[in-house]
Amino acid sequence: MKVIIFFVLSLLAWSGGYAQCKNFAMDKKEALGSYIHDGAFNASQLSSGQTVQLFKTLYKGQKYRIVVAGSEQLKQFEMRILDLSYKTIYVNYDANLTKIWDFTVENTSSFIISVKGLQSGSKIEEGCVAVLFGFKSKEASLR
Amino acid sequence: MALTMGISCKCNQTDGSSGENDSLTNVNAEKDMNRMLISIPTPLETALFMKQFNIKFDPIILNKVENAGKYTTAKERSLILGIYLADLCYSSVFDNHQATLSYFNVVRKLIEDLGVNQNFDKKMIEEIESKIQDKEFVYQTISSKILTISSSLEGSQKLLGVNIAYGGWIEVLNIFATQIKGKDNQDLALAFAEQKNALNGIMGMYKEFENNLDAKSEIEKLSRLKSLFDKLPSASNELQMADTNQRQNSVIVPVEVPKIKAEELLPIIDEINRMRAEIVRI
Repeated sequence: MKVIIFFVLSLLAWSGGYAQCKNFAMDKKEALGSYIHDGAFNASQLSSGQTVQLFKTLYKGQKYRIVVAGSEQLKQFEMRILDLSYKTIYVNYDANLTKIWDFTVENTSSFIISVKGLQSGSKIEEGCVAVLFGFKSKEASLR
Repeated sequence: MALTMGISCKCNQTDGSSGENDSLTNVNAEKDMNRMLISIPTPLETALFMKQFNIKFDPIILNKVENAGKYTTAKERSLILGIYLADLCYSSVFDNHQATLSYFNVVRKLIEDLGVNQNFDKKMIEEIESKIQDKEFVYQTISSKILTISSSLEGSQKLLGVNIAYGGWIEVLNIFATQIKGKDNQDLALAFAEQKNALNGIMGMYKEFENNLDAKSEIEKLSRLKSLFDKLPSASNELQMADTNQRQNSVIVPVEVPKIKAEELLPIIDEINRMRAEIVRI
């Protein structure tokens, strides 16, 4: 029940932000490279200091790439990978605030990608953030 | 189906500082969340996952293209579009070119009937036909032209997008179920069991429309299904990195892996068969 409530927290504002940022997300697919885009344009308006989280189930035996992209106004992000108990298992601070992360899962699992806008100047900035997923089979060649 | 649904939370609004917190311990991530996006596993992803397991393509488990004319309302068409999208992905991944082309055509017609502008016309079908052996092209076309449909629908059509995602997810589980029944494959069983999280996501999406009678009916069905998933043995949700020093090409490992018996999944499979039968009406 807690999980469903968690998913249905509030319905304000996001839809406008999403519609505006969706086109922005569509332009960022190239960063997935040879990974197949999963078709979802996960996008939101965000201010520095705010966090967007994406819930995802990933399959054993596939390679994944996460790409986080921000608009001109919002360039740097903290990217965390959390398990469903909200324990951080990866954060990008040690990797120069990288916005691209490749990984696999040993067993099919669900987790959360948490993206927080970071403030680079003195004022709070606002812009679009997109979180894109790509995948490919570990062994299969597509050609 | 690739559907993203975002919800916002007027939760703990932090200041804009960069706060160089590289700690791997718990942060107040739940409280700090301002937006939650939900992404459902796509049929393409799921079909590619299943391909690892020496599965033979079986057209009998899919919805026949000849049935397409039976679905006349927007609700029926959006649900069945999800079903056919999953069938398309399965056919494509398992190298059945003829079935793939048939499903591309029926999907194109349904998209047209639903009035969705996706630039997916007969010319595109001809191009797909000429490049059907090119898996990368086919997968990228599916991903960029088709799986984006559910998340592209807005306003009064948004509920149709949820229906498409739901239909596709049910069909994926239908295909899964045929591979699990009577077999003991823990990887497939675990991936099937993990769909309970996608189910929560879909329920959340429908709850945005809970004043709509159609959405309410789907929520009731999904609630029944959820009660069955809740009976499965659970393990801790904890994950860890196989090597905390590795920055890229990392491997995520669950701390505990539940053991799922095939017979424990049977009530869920039966319920999914019922839900699917209601959609395809055969």
